[in-house]
Amino acid sequence: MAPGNKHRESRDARSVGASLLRIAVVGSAVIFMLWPYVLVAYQAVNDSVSFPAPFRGVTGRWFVTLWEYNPFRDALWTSLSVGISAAGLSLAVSTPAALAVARGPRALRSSAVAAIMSAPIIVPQIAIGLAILLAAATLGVPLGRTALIWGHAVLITPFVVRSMIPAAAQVPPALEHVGSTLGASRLVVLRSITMPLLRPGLIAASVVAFLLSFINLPVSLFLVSGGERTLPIEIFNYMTSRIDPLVAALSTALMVISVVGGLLALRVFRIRLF
Amino acid sequence: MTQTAPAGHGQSLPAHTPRSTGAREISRPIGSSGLGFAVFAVALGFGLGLPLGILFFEAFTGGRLAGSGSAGGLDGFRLLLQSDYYKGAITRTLRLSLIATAVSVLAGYAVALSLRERDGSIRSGPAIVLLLPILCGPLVGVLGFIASFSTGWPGHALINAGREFLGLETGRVLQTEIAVLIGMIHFNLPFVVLTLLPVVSNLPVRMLEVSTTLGSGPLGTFRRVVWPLTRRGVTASAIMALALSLSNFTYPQFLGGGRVPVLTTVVGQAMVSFAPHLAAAAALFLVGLGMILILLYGWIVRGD
Repeated sequence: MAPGNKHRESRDARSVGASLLRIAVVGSAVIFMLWPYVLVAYQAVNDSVSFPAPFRGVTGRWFVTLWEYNPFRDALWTSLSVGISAAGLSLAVSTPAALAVARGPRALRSSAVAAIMSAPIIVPQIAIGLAILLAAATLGVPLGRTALIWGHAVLITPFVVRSMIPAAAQVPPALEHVGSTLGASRLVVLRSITMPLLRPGLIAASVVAFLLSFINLPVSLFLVSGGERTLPIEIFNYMTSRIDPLVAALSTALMVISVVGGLLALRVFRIRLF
Repeated sequence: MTQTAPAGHGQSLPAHTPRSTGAREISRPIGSSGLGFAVFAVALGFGLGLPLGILFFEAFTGGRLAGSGSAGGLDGFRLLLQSDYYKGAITRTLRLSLIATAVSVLAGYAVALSLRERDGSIRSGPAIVLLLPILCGPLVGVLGFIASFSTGWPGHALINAGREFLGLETGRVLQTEIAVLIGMIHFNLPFVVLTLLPVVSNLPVRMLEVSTTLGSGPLGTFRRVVWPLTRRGVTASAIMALALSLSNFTYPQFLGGGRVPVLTTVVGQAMVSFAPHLAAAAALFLVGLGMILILLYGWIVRGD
């Protein structure tokens, strides 16, 4: 066999080996990540009252029971209202900051400023929750919705501002200049030119912010009140006393909504994660 | 008919008076004053800085604000550092976090490199599966692991098979450190991979081809080309994984229970037992560890 053929054969064998290795690595990671979720979905449709239980037949009764279970429904509305409010508050504070970082003095693009903006990510979430609980008690802020919005807004703001900065950097100042030259006031320019151009970034940031707030547990742990609890806290309390297929049904419903909603948002708003 | 002579012929041109159009000039683009950041800083100062200051005060005055009835002063820290139970929680937190970080980063690095196509693009299908823990939150994953690690279920069998292979005692998996560790790795992995994907997708294709053309095998290409170009991203993902592991609450709470206390569950337990001074001390310990991580990252990055 000619030396060139031998070299080509060994390169082909290495290439096949490398491909198999990659498939094995990615396949193992996918199985490791998916396995708990598959089990939860399986338990949610399994016709048994215990968790976990071997297969006894398919049933939808746990989803019917879920719909009729008031604490979860009430907690869902609390989570939705807290998520929307926290996302709105965070956007209101983060958008001007993003414009300032993208267009302002160079000092605002330093690593010190980036560290300040990322501070809530570095502080452990349970420490944030505890700190806000103590602050709320000191300042007389009621627990429940108000304290939850406070805590969630603090938590999600770094993620919102990080996604807004590139969006703000892409808005051409020249278009604002054209608007002003044609007689528009600063407010009109902001409303008619800047904000519409920022809209895709605003929507993407809102989706991320809302999701992070909706699934949060550690920050919410100390901020809920007797009558106002978020859905993760309600699930947490339920699981502390008992684990049964009802919580599996709720988890499956959350999974489907989060995955479908998240993927839809990624596609519709063209959010690139990688 | 008069003509205006061109300039340079000794005659002055009539002064041009600009006609007012009513246009307003924006001298600077919107937001360029930097005031938006000042508002942000004030909001963050009130939203997070003030609560952390109160937390500090609470920890160093022995729970005066919450009226916990402790002896005062550094009571919380004293309890944390002198009690065997809490000292064990601190060392366990560090040990589990470091192991979870090492495994997550090694596995995440391998996955990120494997997801990269030859032209630098990323295989999005498997990558999206990795988003599940981020999209669904930790509680769903915890529930799945509770099922998996129960007696008679695959996770339980697999772990015990591994223990047997290593000559260790078999038995319960739930409420052990191994369950908490696997949960932490499961939670960290998507974040590690998502951090590394942009890094590996930006690896210059030509450089990799040149390395192969010059006779370097896969290991040589990795050592001389891939690792130097991805080292900083791997360091960043390690710091992030360590921060996530240290502050993980849900997995230790359910998969470890009372048998595997870590600092985050100590904070929770302390509040339930009306010991806010202890909770504040444990929380500040965690904040301090987080600060050390940032400094460490800054030092490593400057060293590069």
